[in-house]
Amino acid sequence: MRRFTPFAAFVAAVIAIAVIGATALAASRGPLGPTSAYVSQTLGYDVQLPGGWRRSTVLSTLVHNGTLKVGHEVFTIRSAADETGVLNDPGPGAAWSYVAVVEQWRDPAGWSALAWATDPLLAGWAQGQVVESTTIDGHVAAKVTNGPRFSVAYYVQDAGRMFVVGYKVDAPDWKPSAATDADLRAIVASFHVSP
Amino acid sequence: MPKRLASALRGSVVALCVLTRLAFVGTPAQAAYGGLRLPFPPGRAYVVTQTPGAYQSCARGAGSHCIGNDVWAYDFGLRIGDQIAAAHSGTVIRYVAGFGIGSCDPAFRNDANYIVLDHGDGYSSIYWHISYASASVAPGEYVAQGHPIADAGAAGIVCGNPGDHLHFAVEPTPADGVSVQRSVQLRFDEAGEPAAGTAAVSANRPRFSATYVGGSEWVVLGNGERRATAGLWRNTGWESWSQSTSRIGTFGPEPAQDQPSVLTGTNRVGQSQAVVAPDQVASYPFALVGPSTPGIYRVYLRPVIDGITWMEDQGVFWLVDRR
Repeated sequence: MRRFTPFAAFVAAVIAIAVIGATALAASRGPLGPTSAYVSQTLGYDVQLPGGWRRSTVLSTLVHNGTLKVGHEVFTIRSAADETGVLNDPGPGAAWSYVAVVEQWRDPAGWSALAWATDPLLAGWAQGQVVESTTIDGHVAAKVTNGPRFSVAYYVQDAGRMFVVGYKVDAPDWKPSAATDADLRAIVASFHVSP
Repeated sequence: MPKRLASALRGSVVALCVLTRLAFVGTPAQAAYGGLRLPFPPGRAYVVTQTPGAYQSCARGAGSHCIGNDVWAYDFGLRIGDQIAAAHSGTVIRYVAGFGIGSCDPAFRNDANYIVLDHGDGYSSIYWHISYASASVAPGEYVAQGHPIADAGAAGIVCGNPGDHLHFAVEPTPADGVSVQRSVQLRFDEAGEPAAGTAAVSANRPRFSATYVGGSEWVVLGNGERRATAGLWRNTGWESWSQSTSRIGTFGPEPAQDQPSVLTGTNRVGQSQAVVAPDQVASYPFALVGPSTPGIYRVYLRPVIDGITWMEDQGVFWLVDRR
């Protein structure tokens, strides 16, 4: 019994700390509220964010990436403090897990969504990726599942622009506890090109 | 809060932090993954700028190879435009090459250019930060060890100015082809597990290389008597040999370079197969004919890709004792 006691105390302490940590994490996010609209004036779209989701300031950027890309915005359920924490440890890969992303690219050549999505230089390529024609926000679009950059991504062509709307769930070890695939799908499904 | 409870809680927090870190740093493999050559062309050397084991310095806030898929990664000091070579043969299963620049800003995490090769043994090698549109491989292509992959670059999260380097790791091949995996401990054939600051010379495969396998003979022939024979060389380079250019040719000392042999009547012997891929053996069939004058004759033959390069001279010859 004497040999068991320290171990039992340690397990109890770990459980206690886990409960305290989870409570603190939940508190840092605040209560999950109703869906809210996020309107991007710069990139020209809007999405509906489920309660607790927000635009990530540190993961979003409007810097041209030396190519046709104009910029991207990232949506996360992590609190700003939680996001800062995981960026430091374990690292950016964790912060980028379970996020929804909207990218805008210039499309001066007027590529179709399907042509863009299947071009390895523009969209990348992964063995086993599935590319399908679909419709999103009333636009003819291409859906890519298990691509090299997104778990699921939609390519949406609109007036000289190509939007890439997707989400990443490719690192389950780093899933925020409150994040759900359903939330991610809902954000992507709500994508709407602003007039 | 009572002192003992506070002390116990502090101890538990420390224990939990340690456990959390252990969960992310990955477990060293039973044995380091081998069969790799340094991921740049033979004869070149680049400084190792970050090593596995960086998790030791990550605890002090330095280094970036701290977490699952980065723990066993190496950074090499390649500059923009330097050629990256396949450390292991494999099939291209992921390909991103459409981004132009990088930054230390975590916003660039999903804008990294990279190539992944599936080795076919449950593991894949990953080459990060390649230059825009520089890939030398195509999606789904199988390439031999040493084959050019792309030019090094600075796309993705890179720190420094411009931050160009090659980030290299080996990971288990995910079932879905794309999930982020934990990297594994690895070692290079010619450099082992190189330390930071060292710059081992690559012994990766060149484009063309040949190793003699067999076929050389010592035969006794009469005047005009014929003997069918064949030389065998293994393709130890990264490019396939084509029947249209792959030969064995005279190179001296007997006969002199590019001179016809009295034994074969020619200065070249062609490859029998249409294509010989890396690691396959090429056959060069020919006939030895006994000369009219008795004596000892030799024909030295060396593999050559006509119009491009001679390959290794291993002093291979056929000897005819004309009696």
